[in-house]
This record gives sequence, structure tokens and C-alpha cells, in this order.
Amino acid sequence: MKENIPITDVKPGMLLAKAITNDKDMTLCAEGTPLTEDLIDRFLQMEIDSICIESNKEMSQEEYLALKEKIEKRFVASYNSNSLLGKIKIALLGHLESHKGSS
Amino acid sequence: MKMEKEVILDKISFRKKVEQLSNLPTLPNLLDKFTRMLKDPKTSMAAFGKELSKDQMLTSKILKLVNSAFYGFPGRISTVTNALVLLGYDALKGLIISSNIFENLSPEAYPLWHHSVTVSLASRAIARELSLPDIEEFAVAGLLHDIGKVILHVEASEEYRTVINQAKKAKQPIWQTEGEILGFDHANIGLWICEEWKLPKKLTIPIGYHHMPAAPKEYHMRVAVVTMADILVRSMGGGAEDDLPLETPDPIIEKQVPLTLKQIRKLIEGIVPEFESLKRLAPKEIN
Repeated sequence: MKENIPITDVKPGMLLAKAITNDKDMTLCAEGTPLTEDLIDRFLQMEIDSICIESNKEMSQEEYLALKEKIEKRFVASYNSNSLLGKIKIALLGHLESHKGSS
Repeated sequence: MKMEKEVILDKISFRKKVEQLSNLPTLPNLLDKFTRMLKDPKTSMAAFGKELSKDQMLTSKILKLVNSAFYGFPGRISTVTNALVLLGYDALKGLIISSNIFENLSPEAYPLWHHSVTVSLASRAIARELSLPDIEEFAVAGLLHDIGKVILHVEASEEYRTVINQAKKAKQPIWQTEGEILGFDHANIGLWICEEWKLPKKLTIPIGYHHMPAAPKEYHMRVAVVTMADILVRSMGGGAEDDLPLETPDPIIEKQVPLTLKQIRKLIEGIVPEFESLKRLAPKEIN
């Protein structure tokens, strides 16, 4: 799961989940790069406040079911799976599914 | 301990209060001056930026806003002229207004701030996905789409809390409950205020019609993008008032914003990390 965290909470070993670019959209540090002390120092020097990292937090089965139930409750209006609401619901449940722990 | 106080809503006096609001929040005189300057074709962007930079408070506010993590510009923007070139005048004016208005919001209405900022992010993302021009204007329309609610929270907080509770009890969208009680809703209030502030139609129409996307005569695409962003954020649990159910969207939305399942999934993947990280920010940090 991707997560934005303040630069002060970044620890070496975390994986960069979104490339760092400069104001000309040039990639300075690519997505997937494992972060080192040096890199974190450089980000601090560049005055970057927060970065997007790959969090290894896995969702438990209980969390998954609770979130799924919340989504179901929001979609009470009548619609079919081809409609806009139908597509949003399928996309949301798909997103949730992809972050479920494998256990 | 805080006790829930039951407020009996006096519809007539509440409505009167809200009707008198339309001339309450005023824009800084400065903005009026800038609007006049911009109407003069001889004013260059650089000259305008220079004039704007003379107001230190405003300058620091603008720079803080455009450089904040969630506003999303890669790299630093160090001058007002740069911000102006990147955002365009209309988007910048909207941003200044929003920072003035959101400042007065009580911490209790924090979900409304979170909702507004995520709808802004989502509007920009949808506009980008559809390769529309001027995506920053979509972002600002998203940021201001519920400005009517902000005003209700600031100016009539007790009465508005009762309206919210009533909507929750009836399990119906908040704007419908507002309509039943007031005869108009927060989108209408947003429209009055934005007209009062002389924002351009391309911003006032999406703000004023985000719950009635088929009603206006023009700017259907802009309305549809903001309404779609609102639905998307609410479907993720980012509504300003807990989990009120989603109503069936007007068919015009799908016609104007024909997103595929794959595109919607991509939008969700993009919005979720920002959505989560914004939860950790207090409203004060943007202002």
C-alpha cells in the first residue's frame, strides 16, 4: 500500500513509491528506490516535506471485512454494474482486495 | 464532557440568517484592485506579480499554499509571478479566497476541510486523465465546491449541526435536507457568494451546480468533473458528514466524463495515499 509520510518519519530501507521529480518534471529518484541515509539527507536539503513510500502494513481479514461492509453501506441507491456507481464500487472493492494480506 | 444540546430548528429565522449572509464575507480590498489591474490589457503578468508581491501576508500565504505537500507541484515555487504563471489568475484568486474562508472553520468541521481538499485533488486528477486544459481551475473549483457549507458552518454553526443530524436520521443527502428546511441548499449559497466575489463563471457554475449537473446552460464538462470527484471521494468514505449514502448520479455525468473501470481504478489508486496522509494534517497547516 502506498502511503505519504513526512520526511522526518522516513527510515532507511523504506521503498520510494512515487518518483521524486524536479520542477521540470525530470525524475531525480525513481519509484521503487530503497531509501538510504544519504538519499534522505538529500531530500531534506531539497526541502521536500513528505514523500510517498511503499508501506508494508498488511490489512487483516477483520479490517478488510469492516472496510468492505462500509463500502457496501454507501452504495444503497439502485444501479447496475455497468453504471457509474457500479463501476466505482467494483473499482473500490478491487482496490481493497489488492491490499488484503495474503494470510 | 461535551453534552449534545438538542436545538429546535427555527426554519424561518435560520433562512433569514442565511439570506443575509450573501453580503457578509467580503474579499480583501486588495483583490478588487487586482481584478481592476487585470482588466487593463497593458498590465503584464510580471507587473501584476510584482504588485501582488508588495503584500507580504498575501505573498507568504500564496507561496505556502502552492508549495504545500498536497497542492502537488513538484519542486519549489519561490515567487508569486511563478505561481501566477503556473496557476493562472482565476485559480490563484480562488485559492486566496479559500484560504481566507477555511481559516475561520472550527476544528469540529475538519472533515469538511478534508473533503474539500480531496475533492480538489480528485478534480485535478480527473481533468488530467481526460487531458483537459487548465487543470488547476478544476482543482480550485473542487476546493471551493462546498464553500456554501463552510459558510453555514462558520455563520450558523448550531443550526447547521441540526440540519446535519436531520440528514443522518433521514439517511438522505445533506443538500436534500437543506432544501427541505431552507428552500435552497449549500450549492445555491456557494453560487451567490461566488457571484458576489465576481469569480468567473467557469468556477461559479461547477460550485453552484454540483448537485444539479444538468441544470446549467454551459460548462457541463466542468460541473461533471467536480460532481464526479465529489462522488468518488464520498464513495471512499471522504464525505464531510460521515457516511451518508450516495445518490444515483445524473446520467449527464457519465456522458460528460466517460471514465472506464480501468481509469476509475487508476484514479482511486492515485487519490488514496493523499487521502490517507491528509487525515494527519490539521487544517491550520495549510493556512
